[in-house]
Amino acid sequence: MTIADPMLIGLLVLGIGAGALGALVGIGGGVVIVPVLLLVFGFDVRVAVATSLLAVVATSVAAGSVHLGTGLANLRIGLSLEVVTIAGGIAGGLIATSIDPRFLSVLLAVVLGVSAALLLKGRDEHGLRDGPGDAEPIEAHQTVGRLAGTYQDGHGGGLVAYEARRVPAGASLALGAGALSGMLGVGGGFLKVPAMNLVMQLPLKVSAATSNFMVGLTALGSLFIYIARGYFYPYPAAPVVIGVMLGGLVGARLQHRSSPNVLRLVLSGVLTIVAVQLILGGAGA
Amino acid sequence: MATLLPRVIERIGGDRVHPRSAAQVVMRAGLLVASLLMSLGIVIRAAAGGAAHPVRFSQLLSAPAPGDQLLMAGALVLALTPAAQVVVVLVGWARIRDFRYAGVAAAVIGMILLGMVLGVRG
Repeated sequence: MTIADPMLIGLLVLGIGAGALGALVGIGGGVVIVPVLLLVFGFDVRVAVATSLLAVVATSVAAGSVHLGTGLANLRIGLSLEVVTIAGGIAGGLIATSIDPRFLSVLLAVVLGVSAALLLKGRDEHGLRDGPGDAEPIEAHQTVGRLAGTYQDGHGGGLVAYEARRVPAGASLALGAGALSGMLGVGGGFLKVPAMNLVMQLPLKVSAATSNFMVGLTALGSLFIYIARGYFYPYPAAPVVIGVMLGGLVGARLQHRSSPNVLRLVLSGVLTIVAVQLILGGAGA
Repeated sequence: MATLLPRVIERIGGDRVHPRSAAQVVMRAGLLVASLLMSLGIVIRAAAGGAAHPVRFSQLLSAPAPGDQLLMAGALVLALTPAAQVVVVLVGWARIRDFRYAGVAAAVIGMILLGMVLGVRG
């Protein structure tokens, strides 16, 4: 590769696209990066996963630096789930670097197809409200020890209050999300957002922002295993990551103003396309 | 350090403690440093040419090609930014006496350390 190499430009463009899309739909962008590196750039699946894991961290941090300012991400919920999610991520990294890589491609296609279907079945965010604008503002000390909070709805609906329910069920799904993240280089947001939204009954925007905060930590847990086992190539990874940072900042700013149902449709469509391409790519190889 | 960090957090947050805004400062600093290191690394590495190589922890000081060390340094700064952010949040919660969730944040840090140990041991 040289500086004017089409591959270098291609990796940068891939990063920008994945970063913007990832921040918009509350996922780390890995669901785009891994299949594209695999199918378009011809990377080994484990090298693609390692590259994607760092990109997932970048998306999470870039978007989080915007989300945390809007108060959408709930750090207590995020870190509580993260304890088990990282454990899953570490286990996933250890498994993926020890098994047949073809298994990983098939697993990725299955996971993307399932998560696309889950999101299409998703509940409308308005059904989860206690009524628009009737919540009193909550100061930080009032949520001490509670998995609760409020957020300002960007559509002018006023302050929306929420409290996490069925935490053990949500945590079980987060553990699985972590394992898949470590094996497939995806943030696991595609599982965590529905888990928080549908199971724990958190508003979609809170789920997406909280998931986004979590995925960077999850990816960090498994990235070290890929580096240590010689699957991390810093040169192709860096242009993807730089692109992801730029794309993530743009996407996160757009998210606060966008409609949750449109986001859900976009995410579902993207996942379906990628799953089909993965299966077609596997059949053609 | 134990007294400096809370003071920094208070300074960043104004008159009240805002773990969120302090965490934002950590994230932006991490992003800035990592992107500078990686951008510089890309230029040096691209000018050097040649095939891409994997770089392991043991090769941090003797990377296969020029620029690889800068790229790895940038990658590690970026990777550790979310962990630094959790430390800031932990201190913030301890200060508002939310020890239950300060403990949760400490458990997350513990899990990250476990991943590092398992990773480095290969």
